[in-house]
Amino acid sequence: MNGLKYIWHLIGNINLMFGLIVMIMFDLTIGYFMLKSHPHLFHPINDMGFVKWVDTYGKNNLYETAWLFFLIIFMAILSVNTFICTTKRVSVLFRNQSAFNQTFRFILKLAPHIMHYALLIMLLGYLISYLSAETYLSNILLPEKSLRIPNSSCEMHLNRLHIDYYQGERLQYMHNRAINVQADLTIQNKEKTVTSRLGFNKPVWFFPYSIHLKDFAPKSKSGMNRRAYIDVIIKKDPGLKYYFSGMILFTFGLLLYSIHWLTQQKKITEE
Amino acid sequence: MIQHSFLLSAIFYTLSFGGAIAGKKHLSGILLIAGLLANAYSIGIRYWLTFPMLPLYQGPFFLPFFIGIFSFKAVWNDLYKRSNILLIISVLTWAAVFFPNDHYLPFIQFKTILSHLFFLFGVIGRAFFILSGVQAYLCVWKRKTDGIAAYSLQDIRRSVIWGYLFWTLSVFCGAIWSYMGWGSPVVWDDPIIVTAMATWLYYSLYLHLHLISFVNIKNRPFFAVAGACWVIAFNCLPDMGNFMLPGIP
Repeated sequence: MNGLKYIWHLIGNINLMFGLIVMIMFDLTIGYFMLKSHPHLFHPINDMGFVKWVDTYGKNNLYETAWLFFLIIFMAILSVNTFICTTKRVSVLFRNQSAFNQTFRFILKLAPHIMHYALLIMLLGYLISYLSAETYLSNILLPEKSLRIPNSSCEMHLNRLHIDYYQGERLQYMHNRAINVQADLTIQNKEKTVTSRLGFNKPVWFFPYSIHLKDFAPKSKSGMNRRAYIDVIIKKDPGLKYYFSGMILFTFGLLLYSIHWLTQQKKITEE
Repeated sequence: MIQHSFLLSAIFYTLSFGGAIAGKKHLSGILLIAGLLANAYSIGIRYWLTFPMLPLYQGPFFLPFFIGIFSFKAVWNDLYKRSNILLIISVLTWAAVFFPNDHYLPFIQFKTILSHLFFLFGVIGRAFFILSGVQAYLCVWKRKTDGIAAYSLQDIRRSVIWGYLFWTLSVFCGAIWSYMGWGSPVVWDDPIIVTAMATWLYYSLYLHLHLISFVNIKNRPFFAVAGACWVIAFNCLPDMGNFMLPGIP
């Protein structure tokens, strides 16, 4: 029991966090130069998922990719360290909750811990995403044609493709080039049918899938008249809700922390 | 006009720095305001010529303006602070003039509020981090020479907290934009992604320094100076290009 306690305190030591972040900084600096000189080795992580990437690019180019494996190890230790350290402090805070005469003051004191737990939720989300997300690239859809989402019973139909071309004077390089793309899609399976408008940065959601517009044609009014089509990325990412929830929670905690610290300092300066 | 107005701001900032060194408080102040106005005009035109798309890689032209605005009150009242902060603003402005990034055509994925927030919050975050480094340098240096610190540890921490807030928001906006546009919160072929992450971790560490037993309170400013050097080297320089004389007709 004492041994476990010792390990708990050792891994939860804040000085360990210092050492870990210094090592991560060093590792990321190596990563920066590796990414700069070999971007083609890392780009496929987005497309094929982390597990398949490790089996192919990762394993076969260890000199260039080792930093990423070290990063994962360091981040895993940092997560455990953050969890233990935060849990210790939160438990002390809850034990002394009666010392706070206002609930809001107690919540302000909790703000840094909210941020720490939010970070852990985010990291968990990324872990789930890199281990189990599915990405389907190069899905070409023609107007009035359908496409089946791979490994599912869902079918996508492109009802209409509408492209606006820039006609103004201000953006000279955009003249006659596409400025807005809207694709009306119908997606259906046995249970439901969804009709929605797809655009750049406006994915269509069909649980558990999200459909993202990657490319389209024709891009300009002038030049060769190309056949109209859209190219979509189909994504199934179970980690999505975790890392976005983590981001919202972290932002909430950070705002509370900033307000608390900045108002406290103002008071000290005035006094 | 973009080149003219930015070059003008560089000249105004440098003259203002010279005025501050010479002890001409009012003249230096007027030149600083002129520099900020010319810089703001240059930023406005850059946005006008690209909006609704993003003037990406043009951060170096925005950075001196934000440093000037955020330090304006302190700089206005104190000539010593003014000369030091104006030195860094002048250096950054001339670096942007002579090392502009390649011109590129923006693509439609940039047409979202998230990309603008990612860019603007990122520049503001960098401005606060660099400012905290200058404040830390003055905190240590002035204490060494005169025995009274020009900036307190609270001033440095305040800048770091603002920088951390904007940097975090920038990273999150970037992640959401990346997911909406490309279906992934991290695009793994851009090296800037890892340095952004490293900067975020570094300043997370900075905010924990008061809890770390072996870091003396007197040593904390050195971390802010080191952080500012890191930000300039890995978050600002990658936005710059090769040496080029400004193309003014």
